[in-house]
Amino acid sequence: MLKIEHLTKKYGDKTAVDDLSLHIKKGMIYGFIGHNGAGKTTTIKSCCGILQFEGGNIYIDGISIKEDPLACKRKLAYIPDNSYLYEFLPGIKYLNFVADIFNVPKTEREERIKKYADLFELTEDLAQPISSYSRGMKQKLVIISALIHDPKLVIMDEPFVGLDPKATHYLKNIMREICNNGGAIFFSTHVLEVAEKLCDEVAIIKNGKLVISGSMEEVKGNHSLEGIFLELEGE
Amino acid sequence: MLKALIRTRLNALYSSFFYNSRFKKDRNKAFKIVVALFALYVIVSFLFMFGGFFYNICRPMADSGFAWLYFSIAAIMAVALCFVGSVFLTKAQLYDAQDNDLLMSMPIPPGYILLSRIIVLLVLNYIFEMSVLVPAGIVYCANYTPTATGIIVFIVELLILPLIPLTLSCIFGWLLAVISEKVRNKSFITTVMSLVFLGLYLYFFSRINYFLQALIQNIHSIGSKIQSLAFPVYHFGLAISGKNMLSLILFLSGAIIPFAIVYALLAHNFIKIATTKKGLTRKKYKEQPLKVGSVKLALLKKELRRFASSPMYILNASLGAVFTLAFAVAMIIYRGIPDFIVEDFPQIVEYANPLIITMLCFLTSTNFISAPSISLEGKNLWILQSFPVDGGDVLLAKAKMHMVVCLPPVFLASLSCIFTIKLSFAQILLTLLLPALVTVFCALFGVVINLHFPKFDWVNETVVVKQSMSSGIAMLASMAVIAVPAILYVSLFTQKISTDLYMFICAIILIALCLWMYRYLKTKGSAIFAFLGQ
Repeated sequence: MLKIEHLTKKYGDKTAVDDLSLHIKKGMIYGFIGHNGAGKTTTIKSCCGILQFEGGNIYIDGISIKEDPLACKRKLAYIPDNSYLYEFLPGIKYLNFVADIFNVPKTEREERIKKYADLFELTEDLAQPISSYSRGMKQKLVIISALIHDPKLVIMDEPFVGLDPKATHYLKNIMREICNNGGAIFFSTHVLEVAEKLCDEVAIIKNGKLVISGSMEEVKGNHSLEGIFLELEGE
Repeated sequence: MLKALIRTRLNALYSSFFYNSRFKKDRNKAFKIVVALFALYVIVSFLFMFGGFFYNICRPMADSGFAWLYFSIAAIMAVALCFVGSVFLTKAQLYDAQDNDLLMSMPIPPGYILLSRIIVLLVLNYIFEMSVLVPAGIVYCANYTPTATGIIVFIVELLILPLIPLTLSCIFGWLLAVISEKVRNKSFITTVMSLVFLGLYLYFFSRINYFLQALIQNIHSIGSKIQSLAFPVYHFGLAISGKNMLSLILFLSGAIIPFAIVYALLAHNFIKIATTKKGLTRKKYKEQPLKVGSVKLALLKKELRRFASSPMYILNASLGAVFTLAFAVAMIIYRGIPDFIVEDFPQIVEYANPLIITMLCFLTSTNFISAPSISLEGKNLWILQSFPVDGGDVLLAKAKMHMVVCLPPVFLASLSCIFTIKLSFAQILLTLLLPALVTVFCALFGVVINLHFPKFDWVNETVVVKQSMSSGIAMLASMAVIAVPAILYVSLFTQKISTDLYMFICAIILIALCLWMYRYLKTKGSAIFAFLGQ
C-alpha cells in the first residue's frame, strides 16, 4: 500500500531523512518511532506529497507520488501533528469542503459525518466556528475529515495528542477497522505502549536513518519496545 | 516590577513595527528610517491640518471674547482624536490581552498588570493629544502674547486631558468587547461600522469650510451649549484664557475623578475580567442536507469565506470596490459630473469621457485582495498541499475571489456611466471592457506576485495584508498599469492616435497579459505552489 524506496530529504546542508526504505502492506498498522527531530514528520509529509524530496521514490498503491501526486492523494488521508485548520469555518462547513474536494457523494458524506461525529461526540458542535474549538475538538475534526472519503491509506503524525481516553479508544478501533477492510495505517508516535499494543510492524528511525524495522515480535523480541528504543538511542 | 511590565509593553509596541518575524531579527536601518519618515510625515500633516483649522478660528473667537471656546474646541478635538485612535487598542490591551494567563501565573499583583497597560495607553493618547493641542497653542501664541500663568495652566491641562478619552476608551472598550463577543456577524458589523465611520469622516472633511463658517457665525449658541453640556472642556478653556484657578480645579476634578473611579473598578474586577471565559451562546448543530459542489467551487467558496471573515482584510484590500460603488451612485445622482469636469477644465473637453473610464480603472486598481491571499494560508498551507487538488486551481480560486468581489461594483459603475454620459459606441465598449480587464489583471497579478513573495510565519494577519512585500508591489504595479499608459499617451501619442483607439490597444495588451498570467498560474505556478513553505 505504501512503499518508501531510498527516500532522502535535505534542508539545505542538513540531511533530514537519509536513504530510508519501508514497506507498509495492506491490512497493516505500521508504527514509526524516533526521537524529536529524527525525521518522522519529514518522512510522513513526503509520503503525503506536502514535501518534495531529492532522492528515492514513494509509491502509494503502486503509483509514484512524484509522477502522479493527485492520484496518490486521492487514495490517502493525512492527519498532521498540529491542528491548524480554517478557523473561520464552522466545523460542518469544513467537513463539507473536504468532501467536495474528494468528490464524496451526498449520501455517503452525510452518513460518514454522522457516524464519526456521533462517535467522537462532536455532532452538537459542528455549527460552531472552528476558532471556538478546543485542541481535542480540532483533532477530532481532523480525524473525521480524514475519514470522510474512506481512504485506503491513513498517514498520521502523533494522532493521539489532545484526544481524551474515549476518543483514543475509538480511534484505535477505527485504525484496526480500516486495516481489516484492506487498508493500511502508517503513523508516528512517542507513546511506545500504544505502539507496542497496536502495531503489526514498527520502524525506528534515528537522525534520519532507519535503525531497525520489522514485525513487533522481531523488533522487540522478549523485551519491551521502550527498552529496545532506549537501547537503540544509546541510553 | 512595574517598570519591567511597562518596558515589556513598550517593547511589544516597538516589535510590532521593527521586528522581522521571518528572519527573527530587528528590521534593518533603512526600514526604520522609512517608518520614522512616514511617522514624521503623519505628524507634520496633522500639525499643519490642525494648525490651519485653528488659524482660521483663533482671531474671530478670541477677538469676540470667546478665547475659552477656542481652547474648549481644541480640547474636544483632542479628546475625539484620542478616543478614536485608542478605543480599539484599549479593547485589545485591557479586555482581549493574550498574555493575561501567563502574567497572572507569575507573582505580579494584578493591579500592576492593569497599570502597565493603562500607562502605555496614556502614552499613546499623549501623542494623539499633542498633535491637536500643540498647534492650537502655537497659533494662539502667534496671535496673542501668552502669560506665564497661562502657559503653566496649559501644560498642566495638557498632561491631564488624556485621562478623559482614556476613561471613555475604557468604558467603550469594555462595551465593544461585550458586544463583539455576543454578536454573531461580527466581521460584517465591524466592516459596516468602519465604512460608516469612513463615510462620515469624508463627509466632514468635504464640508469643513461650511462647518468653520457655521462655528464662527453661531459662536454664542455653540458656546452656551458647551458650557452646559461639556463642563470639563468648558473649564479647560476658561482656566487657560481667564487664568481662572477655580476652573482649573473643576477641570482637573472632571478629568481625574471619573478616571479614578473607572480605574478602581477595573482594578477591583481585573482578575474577573481577565479570566471570565467570554463567548457566544453555543449554537447547537441540527442535521441538514449538505450541498455538494465541484472542487473549483469549493475552493472559491472557501476563499470568499476567508475574505468575509476579516474586517481588516476587507477594509484594507477592497476599499476600491466600495469607492467604485460610491462612484456608480455618484454618477446616477450627479448626472453632470462630466459637465463639471468640462466646466472647470475646458481644455480637456474631448478627453472627458476617456478620463471617466480611466478614473474607473484607477478605482478598481486600488483593490489588492488577491495579493496577500497565499500568505494568508499561513499554518493552514498543509491542508491544500495534502489535498488532491491541482495547485493551479488553488491559485486561480484566489484570483477568482478577487474578481467576484470587485467585478460587480465595476459593472455597476460601468453601466451607470453608460446611462448617464453621452458615449460613442466604442466608448461604451471600452467602459464595459477596460475597467473589467484591469480588475482581472489585478486579481491575477496579485496571486503571481504573492507566489514569489509569500510570508507564512505571521502571527497577526495585519502584517501580511498591510505590510507585506506582496501587497506593496501589487498596489504599486496596479497603479502603474493605469498611470504609465496615461502618461505615455499624454506625452507621446495625443496627436497621433485617438484616445479610443489607444484604449483599445491597452485593452488588447491587458488581455494578452491576463492570458499569460492565467497560463503561468496553471503551469509553473502550480509547481511553485507545491514547493511553498519548504
